[in-house]
Parts: sequence; structure tokens; C-alpha cells
Amino acid sequence: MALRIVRDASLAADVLHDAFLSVWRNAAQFDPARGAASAWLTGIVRNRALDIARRASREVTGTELPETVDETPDALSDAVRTQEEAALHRCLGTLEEDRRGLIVMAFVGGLTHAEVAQRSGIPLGTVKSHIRRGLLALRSCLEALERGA
Amino acid sequence: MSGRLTQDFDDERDALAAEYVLGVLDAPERDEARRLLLRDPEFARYVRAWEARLSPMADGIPPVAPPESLWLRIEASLDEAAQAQAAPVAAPAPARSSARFWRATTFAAGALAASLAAFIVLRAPPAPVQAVLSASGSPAFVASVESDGAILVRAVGAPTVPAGRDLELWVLPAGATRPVSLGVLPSTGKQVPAGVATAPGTQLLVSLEPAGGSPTGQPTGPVVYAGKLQSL
Repeated sequence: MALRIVRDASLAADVLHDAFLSVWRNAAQFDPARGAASAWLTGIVRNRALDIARRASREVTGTELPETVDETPDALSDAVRTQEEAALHRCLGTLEEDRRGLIVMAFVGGLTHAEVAQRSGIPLGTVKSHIRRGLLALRSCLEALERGA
Repeated sequence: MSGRLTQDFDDERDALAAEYVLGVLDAPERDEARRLLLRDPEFARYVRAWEARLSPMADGIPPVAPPESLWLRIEASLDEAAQAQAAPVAAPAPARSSARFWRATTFAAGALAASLAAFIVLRAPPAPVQAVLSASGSPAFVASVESDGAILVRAVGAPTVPAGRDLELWVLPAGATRPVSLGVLPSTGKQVPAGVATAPGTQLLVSLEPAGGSPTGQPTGPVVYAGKLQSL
């Protein structure tokens, strides 16, 4: 995950190093009442990776990763194990295809609005509004599932 | 900017939280979000909610093994941190809360099951796995799976085990219904030789048992820590 965002093996190692130490130091602050441990961990690693990626501004493009990730919700189907994953998978499936594609592309690649625009060839403003509306629809769908559960 | 969209967030901070967690903000925008995170509890709540919503997407990303040298660096940094903690200046908070936790258990062992809490495992296969075992949010152990498959469990908060009782470590592979004992877990930690399941989804459990461990081969006391191997 970290490697996919920073696109450089040694930077990815830095991310994991910092994330492990952060987990070690901040474990006392982890409050199970506030949410799942897995989300907390994923947040720590992703945030560190995103910070490093932004700082490096991708001046060094690094090794372009083989596109082993199919950037559609189907890529998640093998990983669907928990209720939360199943819910997200289901709700991503309800989004309009272009919005879903942009959201998954951004998350998996750790891309900024501008980078998503560049890669998809879609104008920046459109990317921003598609992602926003997609996220809003995602939230509504997840909240509806939660209420129904 | 997009406030005039027909469909938009009621609270602009919720939108910013969503974009922050998704990772689409550029460096200045991220800095701004960071500052807001520190001073606005409502924004912090939005961020946590979005982390919970979006983090399952990370599980669709195939893991890549980090270089072996990384684990040496982490080991070294952790040792430094441990030494700093050992300084007799101020007792580290984790130790205090663990002691409080365990003191409470001697009075109300029945409440133990209710305080079942996170036992967090970071997994970066096939190299070592790291885990934080905590009860009621206060960490007790950190575990790591070495590249040879051995599991090293170290104490973080110096948990106090009630007299006449022992902690016992168990592994429960995904889909299995009966945990397998990994032996008594001393309050200082232990090393479990390779040969134990460490695939993502495998759970590690710690139960409170009579001295010497469970007499039955299955947990007889309450499970006080539990968690799942997780891929990063």
C-alpha cells in the first residue's frame, strides 16, 4: 500500500518505519470505542505515505508499478471478509461508473486531484466535483446500510 | 468553490475530511487539514468516520514485501524507544493504565470479557509482522512475526498478572473454530518458534488461565486481548 503511493522502494520503507514507530508510541491513544483498529492502522500508514509523496512531489517518478491492481470494485471481491468491506464494496458498486473509477484510482494510487485529472484526461474541476459527489453518495449508501443492519 | 452544487455536503468540513482521507489533497491543502485536525474536534470526528468508511479499500491492494533491512531499522528504533522509556523519570502511561486494568481484574474477573479489546497486528508479508496487544485501549504487548515465521511478543506496558494466574497465547487461523495454544505468555513476552499460522485474517488471542496454563488445551479463562493479522 505504501509503495503504491510513494512509488519508490526506499521511501516506502521510510513510511513503514515511521508508521511502526508511530503505532508503538501512540498505541496508548488508540481508543477502541472510536473505531476499528484496522482503520486506525490503515490511516497511520496512508497518512505517512501521502505526506512523503506530497513532499517528494514525485520529482523522482521511481519505478512505475506493474498495474496489478484492477482499479474497479471487483478488485475488492477477493478481499471481502468483514461486514465493513462488504458494505463498502456494495456501495462502490452503486456509484456512477466514472465517479467510482476516479475515487478508487485516487485512493489506491494516493493521487491528488490534479494527478487524477492528468491520468484520466478529465478536467480538474470535473474531477473534483465527481469525486465529491461520489464520496457523498458513498456516505449516504453506507449510512443507509448501517441503519438497515 | 463547489458550494453551489445541487448535491453537496451540509458541512464543508465533512467534505474536506473525505478528501483528506481519500488522499486527493495537495501539500498545502493537507497542511490546512492537519491544522484543522488539531483544533477542531468535529473535523477530527469526520476524519475518523471517513477512515472507517474508506479503509477497507486498502485490502484490495496486494502487499509487497519490504526489504529485510527495514526490520533491522525498526528493531533498532524500537530498542532506542524502549531504553528511553526505561528511564526512571516518569512511568510511561501505558504501564500505569495496564496496572490499573489488572488491578481491576482481581476484583472483578467477570468484567474481563467485557474489556476485550484490540490486539493489533501489522502484517507486511513475508517479512515480520508487528502487533500491539491492548486491553481497554492500553497496550500490553507488541508482537512481530520474523521473516522465518517465528512470532516475537514483547511487553510494552509491563502488565501485572494476578498472583496464581498466567496469561496464555493462542492462535486461531481464519475459519478455524478452536484456537491452538502457543503456551504460557510471561508478562515480559516470549518467542514462539516458526510453524504457526501467520496469514492475514489469523487471530491471536490471550486468555487468563490458572498458573501453568490451561489444563484442558482450550482457553478456560476470559480472553483479555484479541486481534487479527492485517496486511499493510
